[in-house]
Order: sequence, then structure tokens, then C-alpha cells
Amino acid sequence: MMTEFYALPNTEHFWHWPTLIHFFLVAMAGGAAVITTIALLTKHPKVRTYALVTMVLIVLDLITLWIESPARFRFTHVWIFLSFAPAAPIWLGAWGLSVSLVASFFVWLQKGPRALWATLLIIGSALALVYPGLALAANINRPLWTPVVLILFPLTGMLTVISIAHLLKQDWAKRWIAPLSLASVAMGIVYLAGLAMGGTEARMAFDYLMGHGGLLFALGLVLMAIVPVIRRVPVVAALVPLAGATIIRSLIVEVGQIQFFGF
Amino acid sequence: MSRMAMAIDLAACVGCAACSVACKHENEVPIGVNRLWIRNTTIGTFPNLVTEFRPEQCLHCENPPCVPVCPTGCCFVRADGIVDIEPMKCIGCSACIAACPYDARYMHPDGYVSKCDFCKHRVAKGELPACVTTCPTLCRSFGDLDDPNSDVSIALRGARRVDLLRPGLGTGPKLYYLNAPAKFGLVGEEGQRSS
Repeated sequence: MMTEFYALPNTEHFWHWPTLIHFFLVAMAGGAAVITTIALLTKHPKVRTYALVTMVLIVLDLITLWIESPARFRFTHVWIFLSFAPAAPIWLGAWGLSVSLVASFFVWLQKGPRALWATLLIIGSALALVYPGLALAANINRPLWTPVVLILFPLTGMLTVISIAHLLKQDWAKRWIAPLSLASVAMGIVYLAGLAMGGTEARMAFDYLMGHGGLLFALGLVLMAIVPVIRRVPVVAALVPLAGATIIRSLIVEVGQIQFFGF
Repeated sequence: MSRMAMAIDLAACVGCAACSVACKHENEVPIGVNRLWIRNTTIGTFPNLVTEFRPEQCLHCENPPCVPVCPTGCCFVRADGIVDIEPMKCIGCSACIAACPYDARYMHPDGYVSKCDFCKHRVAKGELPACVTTCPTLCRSFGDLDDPNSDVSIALRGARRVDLLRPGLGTGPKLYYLNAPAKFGLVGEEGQRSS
């Protein structure tokens, strides 16, 4: 079979490197919001610090989103907050981040009803953490964005922020790195196995992923898998899983934009 | 309420691309992106060859996956069934581009997503889309599916075979391919339905 075109379908990548930065920052922001929520519920003495970090990360992420948007000087983003689109993952994510930002601000100020901020943070942080995976898995036409990313992305998101916390010498973070790393590796393997053992399109997607970043994907898995071995060196134990999680997430976002209909 | 739709008789299409050129001109489509393109597929072994010219564009689905993922509501289905975009509400997030199974959407250089809208400005004046009027073999039919006397309804009734693109996704395309010349229906597609 031979295929030629007069004019071409719009098959080019629609998300570029700033989107990868967003996916990294939103993992940090969502994860930090979850940590602030837990700190607030457990009355952790550093809750104000965590709330401040959450705010900074959310603002950084929103600035990244604004910079990468081709509509940045039309200021149309206001429509997200003037619309009701709960079926849209980006709408959920925007509201999750915004609610988390406002609640974290009041937690940092230590003003207002604590129970209300805790409730808002529980909802907002959960949305912020889950939304990236949801934004990918919603596209059933793109075979690399399987439902497994709904679990893989929140896991690697939490691993990202816990690694940073460990790097910043937060004592509680150390005990969570290995379980989160191994859980992420397990989901990474489930993700690959699901593709390799799936239908025709899934197997084509598996081959495509292997051809366009298979070694990097394997490197990401290995970096997360060796965490239990290297955990005695704190800096390495933080940076290695951080790198692994970021590689896996970025590859799935970047390479996953393929769909085989076009060519 | 109406359901505007299009049918393309692939047995009549000669792949001249006049529709693609007319679309580009009528809608001032920027360089590098397209609302309409022609897929030219040849299958078989000489001398038993079949060539299919298949124009592709937005299919104005009954269940468009691009609409629910839009965070601002700028992608919507009009009362007449045309899947449309309101540029002034678009944030350029590309969620709809990601969701489209047919690669029909593109980012306009002015920062909003665009695609075929069945030439809604012409339809509003009672005219046919530019691709329909320009076709030299009259292979395109356009009209209201709910009107049994519309061109598209008549074409669908008279077709020997009707095919849809990626029917397994449940999008319910309203662009129908008639009388595909390939032996087993549309080239490269699975699960076609016969009329």
C-alpha cells in the first residue's frame, strides 16, 4: 500500500517543551498541596512553610502556562473561571490549583476557618495531582495515553515533590521515597506490559515508544528502581528518583502525542 | 433543529484537490496547516491496483470528543450540528487538538484553534460550502440529515456503500464516504458499515 497526500493532515506535535516544564511544575505544585493538606490536618509545625512553597510552585506553574499559551496577550484564560466544564481535565486542574492557592494563602496567613481551608485543600490538591494524568487519559484516540497514566502520573508527581522535600532535609520525606519509587516502577512496568500485550494499535504504540525513547524509558525505570540501594546518600537518593520520574513523565507526554491515523 | 452533514462519493472523486484549494482560499487558512487534505492511497499489485482519493477534514461528529475537553466552552456544537469554535474564548491549550481522532484541528497563528466549519458564513446565507461548489465531479453532497429531500440524504440513500472514519471510537461522524473504490471499503479502515 502506498499513501500520498495533497496538503497534509495536522499531525504535528501540539505540546512542546514548555508543556513538559508545566507537567513537571504541576507535579510539584499538586504534590506540595497534598503535603500542605496533610501538614494542616496533622498540625505539623512547618505547615506555614509548606503552604508558602505550595503557593510559589502554583504561581510558577501558572506563569509557565501563561507564557506557553499562544493566547497569552488575549487574556482569554479568564473564561476558564467564567465557564462550567467539569468534563474538561484542564478546567478541573485550573480550579484545583486556584483553590489550593487561595487555601494555602490563608493557611500561610493563619487566618480564617481552618476546617474550611483543610476541606478546600483536600479537594484542590487531589484535583491538581490527578489532573495531568486525566488530561492525557481523556484522549482515547492516542494509544500511548492509556488509563494506566491515571495512576502513574499522581504517583510520579508525589515522588517528584517528596524527592525535593528529601533534598531540602525534611526528615519525614525519607521514608516515603522508596515506596513511591517502587510503586512508580511497578506502574511503569504495568504501563509497558499493557501496551505490549494490547491490541494492534497498542502494540504499534509500544514499538513507537521503544523506537522514540525506549532506552530513556528504561533509564527512568532503573533510576527509580535503584532507590532502595542508594538511600544512604541523601542527595543522590533524592536526585535519582526525581530524574527517573521526570524522564518517564516527559517521555509519555512528548512521545504520546502520536496517533496512527494520520499516516 | 437540524443536522448538517456531508457525503463524498469516492468513486467520483478524482483527487484534483480543487476542494482543498477552495477551502484554503475561502477561509484564509494559513500556510503550513490545512482544513482539508486529500489522502491518495494505492493498494494491490500491478496490474490489479486500486487507487482511492479520500478528502479528509473535520467530520462534525455527533459525539465530538473535542467538545467536552475544552476548559472554556469555546468548542461547541451549534443547533444545526456544526461543531464550531469561538476564537475569543480559546486559550490555545490544544486539548481539543489532542482529543480529535482525525487530526482536523490546528493552531492558528493568531493563537486560537481552528478547523473546518462547513463554511458556516456561506451556510448562513443559504449557500453551499466552498468545497462543495468547486468540485468538478460533483462528488460532494451537503445538507440536513433530518431533511429526507436534502442533497446529502438523497446521496446516502442512493449509495451502494457508506463508510465512516474510525467508527470504533463512537464519535458518530457526519461526513460519510460513499462507494469507496477499494475492494473492502475504505483503505486502511476497520469496521465499515454497508448501506
